[in-house]
Amino acid sequence: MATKAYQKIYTHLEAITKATVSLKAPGASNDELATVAGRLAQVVKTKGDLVTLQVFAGTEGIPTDAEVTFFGEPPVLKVSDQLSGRFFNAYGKPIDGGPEVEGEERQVGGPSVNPYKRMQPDQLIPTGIAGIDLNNTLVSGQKIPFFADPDQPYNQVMADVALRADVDKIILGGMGLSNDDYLFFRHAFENAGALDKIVSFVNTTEEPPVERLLTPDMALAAAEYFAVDENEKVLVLLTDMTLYADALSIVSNRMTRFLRRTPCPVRSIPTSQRSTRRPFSCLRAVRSPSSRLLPSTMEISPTPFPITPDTSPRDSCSCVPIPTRAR
Amino acid sequence: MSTKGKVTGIVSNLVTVQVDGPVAENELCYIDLKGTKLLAEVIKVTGDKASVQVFESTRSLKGGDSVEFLGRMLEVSLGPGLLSSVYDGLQNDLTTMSDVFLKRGEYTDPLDHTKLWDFVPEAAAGDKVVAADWLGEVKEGWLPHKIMVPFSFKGSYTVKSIVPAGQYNIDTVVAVLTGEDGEDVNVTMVQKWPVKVAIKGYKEKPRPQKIMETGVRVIDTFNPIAEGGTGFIPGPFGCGKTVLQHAIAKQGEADVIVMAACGERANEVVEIFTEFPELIDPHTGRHLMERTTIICNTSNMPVAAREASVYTAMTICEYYRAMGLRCLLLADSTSRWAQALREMSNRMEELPGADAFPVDLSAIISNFYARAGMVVLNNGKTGAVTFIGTVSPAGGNLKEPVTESTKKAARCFYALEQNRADQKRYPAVNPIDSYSKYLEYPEIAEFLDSKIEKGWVEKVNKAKFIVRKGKEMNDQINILGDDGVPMSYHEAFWKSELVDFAFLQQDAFDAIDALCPLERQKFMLNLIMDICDRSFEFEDYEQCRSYFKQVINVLRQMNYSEFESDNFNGYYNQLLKLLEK
Repeated sequence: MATKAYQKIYTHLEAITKATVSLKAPGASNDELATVAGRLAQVVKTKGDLVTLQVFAGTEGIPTDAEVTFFGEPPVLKVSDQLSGRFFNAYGKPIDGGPEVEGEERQVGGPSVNPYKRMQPDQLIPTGIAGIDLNNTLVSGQKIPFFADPDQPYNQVMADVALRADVDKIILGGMGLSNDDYLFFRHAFENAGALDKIVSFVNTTEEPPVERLLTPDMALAAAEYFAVDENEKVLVLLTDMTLYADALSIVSNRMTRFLRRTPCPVRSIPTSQRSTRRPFSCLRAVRSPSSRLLPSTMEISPTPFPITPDTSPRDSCSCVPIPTRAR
Repeated sequence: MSTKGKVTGIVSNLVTVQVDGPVAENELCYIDLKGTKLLAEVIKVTGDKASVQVFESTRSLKGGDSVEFLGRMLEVSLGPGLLSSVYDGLQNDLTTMSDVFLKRGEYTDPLDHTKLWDFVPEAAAGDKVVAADWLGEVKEGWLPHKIMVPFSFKGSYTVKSIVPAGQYNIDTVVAVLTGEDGEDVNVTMVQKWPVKVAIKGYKEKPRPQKIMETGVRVIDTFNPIAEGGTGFIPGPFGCGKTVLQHAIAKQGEADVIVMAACGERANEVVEIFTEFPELIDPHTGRHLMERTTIICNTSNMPVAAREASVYTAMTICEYYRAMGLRCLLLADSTSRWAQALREMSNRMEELPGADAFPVDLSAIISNFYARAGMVVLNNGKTGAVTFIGTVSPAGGNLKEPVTESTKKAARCFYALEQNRADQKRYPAVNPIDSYSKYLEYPEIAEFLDSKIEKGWVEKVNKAKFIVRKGKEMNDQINILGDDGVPMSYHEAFWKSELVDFAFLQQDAFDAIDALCPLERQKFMLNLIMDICDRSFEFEDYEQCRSYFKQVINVLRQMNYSEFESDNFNGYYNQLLKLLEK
């Protein structure tokens, strides 16, 4: 995301909503990142010259003459071993006071895994929690949703699972975590002395909701790096998907799209390849890309582990439909 | 000179293109993204603007990028080598892709062009032929794969020459045909066909006349699906939909199985890759994979190709049907396909129908289901495409539009039920809600009369009645209490439990019980109906309960034993003793 020597700056916005801005910018490419008055934004729609950008930090205070510059590339994450033990925000910037990570730039939300190259999941990930290990075994290469009411201690359970699981790396994608919960995770990992095997991408409730849309893609890009390039066993925890879906509906709503009965977009919000879907396909998609892959001799197993607080499970219109029970 | 265009708008994978010439609805085009060609399909044209759905991610695409139209619709290559392949929705061979990740713009050839096939001509020079007539045969695995006059040929042709028996690759010209206009055309072993168009080339499409055996009792006996029939399985999550579907795929009495994994979890497909090559087809003794083609567009693959994947699968089935083979198509799940349609419809800003699905959803679904069926070919032989789709209703709600539309189109309904699954009564097919319209067909009744025994349909209906009555009695017992109802209520309830436990429930993970041939189903149903026909004199409901539990236990042991083995007969004698009491 380095600035280039010559960059075209646009200074006239045609339209502003709470989450998006539109301007005439010929040549902007789909999914490309930009800054609007210094805030990060991403191209979500192009119509002729008119480009719509979703501004991750919200559009409060953005004037119609705000400066807009385009980066010319979609969101990237620098991947290397230095990611271990670090906390990042949804853009992949360190929030733990440490230095920037050096490494190879990878596009987030990249291509999906060829299903033929996967292996059948058959290895148990022991968590030490009887209710999981005995009744709903966690298997490497598989994805399991957790459903919980807001008053349930789901983040504690997640942290327990993360710390007890026998894996090489744990990637935490926090979407709309409260600051207390974020600090809880941080302390839990520090106290357990397991910090070096944990990578966290955290968007807290203090930050704008639209930023969340980047979190799962960042987390999965890191997971794919460790699993595919480094041949490690990876466990991905995403919490919580309901708030992720909320962020989707916010952008969708601002783009005056049709909504279903519960406010969830029927149309996708083009944030990235994996999330260019309405929430359901989106949820499925972000959970799917990782699995055990075939051509390695080592076991590789990123297991995304999203937590979804329950919104009345039997309600057909509930915006987060009950996904799979296992596998 | 093909039509060209420029990208003018992008919303996710819906791209609008300004065109400089004629375009056709559903025509394909390549969008050039810095040298990578992305395949897309025209879905709407307004003036000189065409809306195209891109089958890949549109990341980094920009206004002004050039587009080249191909002048054809989405086609599949049909020829020997389709079986035991693994394709994506656009018929790219996934096994030949080298990378772990699917690269954009990477298209691979679906068929092996170097492999030699043993060709045996069936037509001779001078024969008059029309489209879909058989010219020759190659052996694909153990199946006779007919080389046909391409379906796209109109009018009649005369065979001018045909190669002698020998080994050829698929690109060899095996025959030269002369059209009515005197022009010669070459025929190879491969032909192309647009997936959205049904393959005709048969004489007639009669009503189905036979049932397709699956070895699953609740299907074969209670709700049989006909060869060339349609059925669907709505599966709330965790009800054993996949297990049931795999059981049908493994045991289905069909020559060719095509499985379309449309928007489902990749691990389910992986299960097929890993298991099928090792499993043996119970009907022929050959490896299952040899008769199976897998089309997968899993949940993490591009959404737009979901629609293509079900059509590709259906076209491959129709191709094999034209050879006089019995094909079974399993699509899991059509809801994901409908969701892809919904996304597109909404991006196009069409007025939404129920639950924001496109208004023509019902028509699209029934059109698709109508492509299945049994046909009589031009040479009098028959072929069939049996289609079983699954639907994943959100929240288990069977009133949602996809389920409703599918219900109208499909003739069999296998109602998987959360409640039954929770009680661990597998397969969790609700015996009361499920139905097969084929039981009402006189043709099918006649077939069952001769294949199983006279009056079979009546017997099945009687068994269904017992189950329904048992449920009513159970409700009464629940309201009035065990002591508040006459003894006959308890007896009726336990008779229904007998049918349920000993017949409807089946263990898919037991080597013997998983596959129950019709002969055995006949024996078991007769045995169970015989017990149900007796009237018992119980002193109290406790005695009734424990008696029936014993009977059920023995019958279940019989289910787990090899048919007519010593073990089986031992349990049978035990049962007879019990009945004498």
